[in-house]
Amino acid sequence: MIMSMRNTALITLFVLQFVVQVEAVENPRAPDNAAQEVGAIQSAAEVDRRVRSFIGNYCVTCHNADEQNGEVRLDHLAVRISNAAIAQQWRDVLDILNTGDMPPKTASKRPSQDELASVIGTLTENLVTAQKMLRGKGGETAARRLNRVEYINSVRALTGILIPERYVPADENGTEFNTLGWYQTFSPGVLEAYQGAAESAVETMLMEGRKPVQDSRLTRIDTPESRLLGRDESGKDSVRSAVKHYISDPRHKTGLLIYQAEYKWTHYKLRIPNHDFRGEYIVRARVAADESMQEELKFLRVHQEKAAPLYFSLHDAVDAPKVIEFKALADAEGTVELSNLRRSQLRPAITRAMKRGKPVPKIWIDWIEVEGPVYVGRHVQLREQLLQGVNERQIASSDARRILNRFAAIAFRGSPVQPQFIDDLVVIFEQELDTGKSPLESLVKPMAVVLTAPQFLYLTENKSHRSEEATPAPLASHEMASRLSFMLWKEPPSDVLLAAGDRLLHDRTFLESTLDAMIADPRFQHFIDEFFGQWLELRRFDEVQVDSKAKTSPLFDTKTRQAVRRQPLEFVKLIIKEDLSLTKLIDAEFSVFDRNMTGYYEDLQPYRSKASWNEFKQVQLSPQNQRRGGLLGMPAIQMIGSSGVETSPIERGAWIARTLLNSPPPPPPPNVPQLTVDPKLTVRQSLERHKQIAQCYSCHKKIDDMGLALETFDALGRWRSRYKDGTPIETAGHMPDGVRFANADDMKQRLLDHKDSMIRSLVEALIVYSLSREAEFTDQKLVDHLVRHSKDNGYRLKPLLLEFVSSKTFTHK
Amino acid sequence: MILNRRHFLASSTSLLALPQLQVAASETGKAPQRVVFLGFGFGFTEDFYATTFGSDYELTPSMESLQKHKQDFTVISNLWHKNARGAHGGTVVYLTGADAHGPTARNTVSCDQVAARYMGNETRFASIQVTTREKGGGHGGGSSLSWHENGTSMSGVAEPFRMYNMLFGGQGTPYEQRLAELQNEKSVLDAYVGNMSSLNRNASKLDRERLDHYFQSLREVEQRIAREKLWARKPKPRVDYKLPAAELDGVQEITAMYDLILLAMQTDLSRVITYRQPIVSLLQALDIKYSAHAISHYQKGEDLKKAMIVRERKQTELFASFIDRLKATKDVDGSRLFDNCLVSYGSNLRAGHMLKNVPALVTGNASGKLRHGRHVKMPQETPLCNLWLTLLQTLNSSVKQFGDSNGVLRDLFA
Repeated sequence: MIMSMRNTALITLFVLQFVVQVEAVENPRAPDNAAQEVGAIQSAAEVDRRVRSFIGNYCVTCHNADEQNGEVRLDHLAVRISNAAIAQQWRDVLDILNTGDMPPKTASKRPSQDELASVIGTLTENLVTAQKMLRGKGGETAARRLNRVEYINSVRALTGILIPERYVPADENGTEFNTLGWYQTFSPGVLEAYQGAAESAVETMLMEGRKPVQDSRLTRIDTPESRLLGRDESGKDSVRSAVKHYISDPRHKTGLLIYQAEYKWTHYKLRIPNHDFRGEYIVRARVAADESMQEELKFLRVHQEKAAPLYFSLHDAVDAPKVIEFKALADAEGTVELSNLRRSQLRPAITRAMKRGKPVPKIWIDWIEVEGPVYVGRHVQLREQLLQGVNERQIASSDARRILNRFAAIAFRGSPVQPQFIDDLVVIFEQELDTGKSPLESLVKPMAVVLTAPQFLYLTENKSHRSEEATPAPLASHEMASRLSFMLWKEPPSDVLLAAGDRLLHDRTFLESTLDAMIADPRFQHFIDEFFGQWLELRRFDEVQVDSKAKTSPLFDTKTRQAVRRQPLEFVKLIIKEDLSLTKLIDAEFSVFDRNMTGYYEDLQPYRSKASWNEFKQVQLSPQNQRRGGLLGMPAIQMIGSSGVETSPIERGAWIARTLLNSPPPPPPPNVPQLTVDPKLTVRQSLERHKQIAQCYSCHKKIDDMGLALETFDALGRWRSRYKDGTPIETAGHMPDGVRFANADDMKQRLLDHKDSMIRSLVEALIVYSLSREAEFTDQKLVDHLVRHSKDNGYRLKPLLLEFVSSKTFTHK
Repeated sequence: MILNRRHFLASSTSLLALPQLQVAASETGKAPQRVVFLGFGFGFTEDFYATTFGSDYELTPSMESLQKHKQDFTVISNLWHKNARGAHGGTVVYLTGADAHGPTARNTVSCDQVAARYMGNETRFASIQVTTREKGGGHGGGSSLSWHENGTSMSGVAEPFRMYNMLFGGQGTPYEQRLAELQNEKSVLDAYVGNMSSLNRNASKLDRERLDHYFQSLREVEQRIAREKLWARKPKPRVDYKLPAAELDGVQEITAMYDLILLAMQTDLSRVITYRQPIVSLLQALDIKYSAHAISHYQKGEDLKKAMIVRERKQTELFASFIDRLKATKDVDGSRLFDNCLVSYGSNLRAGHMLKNVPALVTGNASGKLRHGRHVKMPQETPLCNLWLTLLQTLNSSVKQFGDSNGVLRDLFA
């Protein structure tokens, strides 16, 4: 078989991979000797020998040139996987070794558990590596559809309108990054959904944008009678008693009352008078909390559709009311909801107290002021720019052509707009007019078509050079601006960035200052949320369900969940803003908390005074709380390995292997039965059974111990020194390379020994995230360089990003 | 890829036929044959599966609700998709049998679409894909159980009220108006199609593969518009069924979809239907706090197992009532709808991560060829595609092979 130069080169790389890779060989029966074997190198020759020896001893008797049981012949199978057919054959061999069906139990010569575990481990790694190599596409970034965040931001950049998430097709990326194109499907339903979303955005911009602007006004709401509207002492029993209870509090006459947790009075829907959704409003309220409220629950919650909920602490508003203020980004109906605890396990107790006529904890609001509207939305300006020089009431086809051309030119982000396309759009405009719509209304559909065309909906680059050969070509200047903008801000490049495209490609100093400015900009939050959120796999946390009414998880409600979710990303933000080493992610002497977290986690309560309600603040950790340092000390990460009720050490260990050690465990082999949990065994004892079965052990030896070290954090990330039944928690174990650790803190030190692996994991993720493709073999040189460069620059993110975006890989296509 | 708009239509209308002008099929004789593929994720617990075989086999407690129909369905064991590499792949290849794992793999045509080639020409809808949009429902990617030849997913209708509108809505629209609406839709489509040519000039081979999905969707829309034009003169059937509410719980949702599937068959709106069933909303309706994935790993605890059993019993109960209604519904020629359809019910996986010996149940007796009332045990690792082939061949003998099928399940026949 004659192989092409490319394949030879790839195979050489593949072989070198094994020569350079460091992997210790572990003897499961002698854990203490394992430490001495750190550094043993598994070369390609070693792999070859091991696999051939196994096949020779245990398989070839029945699967050779003369005899092929089950039509399988193994004596001549190449160990080096150079094409998909060989990969498939090895996959079949591995599958059957994993199910234990081969070698057959009746065979005269069978391998020991160690031999079996060893060859399974080798074959699995071999296969994963080879499959990665075979998937290589020469580093080409393929066209992909904008994901949800990018689509919403891109539509807003063009129309000034923020489409709510639920109108946009969800990303179906599963466990992959949502910037990868290959998982994306398309169908008429998806096309329809995008067109519909675009139509509503455009319609809002065109139709609403022209309403006359209101003057800003200050309105005071003193005694909202509507609180009792429609409810009086007649009617249903429950309503009657609720009303009676409400009016029994004299304060109801001079303000409004919000009950801590009883459904009829738990919230107040503030309706902004003469609401104009295009504008923003300032809302002020004078509030006080009852002394009888639990300390940690003295707050007012402000919920708005378009923003994250705000919490105003009221523990300093018990004796005397105080004034709070916030910006209202009200929903379409102009409502903002004020409440304390909407649903909680306090409700039954409070309802009972109410029924008996007893007083219950409340928040009293003296008055509410609403000031506005103040117009800041871009849609008003964008609309003016779009309709410049045209009389809105008399849009002729030639005007429509001009408007649509203008719109498409910006929407297509540098891709050419064909005149025939505009012709087709004008036809649609005219047909809409025929149905009786106004000229402005008739522009909605053709503009929506622009926003549903691939030049808007997909991120594409000019790759005509790829049809001739596989060598990359430099990006065009607008393509560089686009890559940077979508990577750091998740939106299309601004005019300024577009104009600077050339300089960004050729002037490193300019690139550096631009990067600094982009990182300092509030829009950089998208990078933190999207890149780090996905690299840290926070989606897995989102999927954990916690029954906040259960006795096992009191009050792990929405606000706690929200705070827990934000913590790791706020920590990342701090590290970036302060230009600190990324190794702090593994362990740090400080962390960040907000008041919702210190309220929920007992061991964090000493930090209460330093924490605030709506903001995460940096807090120095005391010596006893060092266990809370770094990502592994954070509930969000710990809960990635949790069912909401019990911990999952395997998931926790696997997360560490993937994210911090860049050594993802292979997926569980298909058709292997699960081990049944024996309730009499401890968690550690249950997982010990993995050690007894060769097929399990080969992968689990690199996962289980690390997860078990975190057993001192329960299923909700709360610290515990013992299990509920009193059994002490053992935390000692081994790293995948065999080095021992005594507990989680010790494990973090061992993880710091491998900090380069974490950086490697981050860099490869960065390639996937910003270039929309897998990190391939051809990227290894760049990855090596970036890891070395990072080491030389204190492992800080900014130098790493700069080195990355100025690399040949990033600036070519 | 054909980019000239004129050629575009010409290549796709060859399969379209004029709609039947008769109102009642009884004038032509027999009722038409239909096929329904029902699929759900996560399999069942091991307790669900019967351990005895033949005609005297015993139903397990989880299958209790099917006892009254025991003589009218067949359970088949030892079927699997050898190309299904991972439990986390979901139901993506359930009806295709393809090796569609990972970035380079491609799915292929699903068996219902093969059926639609033969059975979809005389009805308003060549096929109907009913689906669910929920995340974490064990289905993986794609918009329904149905897939095109080129590996793109077929969209489905996910809400009962939407399905109702699709089947029976728009009754009052005059013909001319409907045509005008369709013409407007066509103009929009023309704009999209015409726009594609400039894109492809600057695209690499890889880009074109990605954009092909988009282009395929345009083709589908074009076919739908053309088909609707042909059917525009014929009024939609009137049914005595209320528009379902927008907010339904899991049990109501599945029940409503079964109802609508039945009505679609009875009114001959379609003869090929797939239903990608929900589980997340079902669990919520049953007040189960665990996630679907958590209970699929029921080996981890008694509570999880209990929850999984509650779900499989309820799901089977809903299926049993579907069979009830199939038997109770009169078809156009006076026979039961049950006698003129084939229904398959199953999952891509057995339990946990086990992909071998998946649940497979067949009911309905279109063509009268199947002999029900038995638990059939096939040899180990028999392709699930053999079952699909069997159903396809029962309905149309010209189908010789499907997916990785290596034969027909003769044991199902009388």
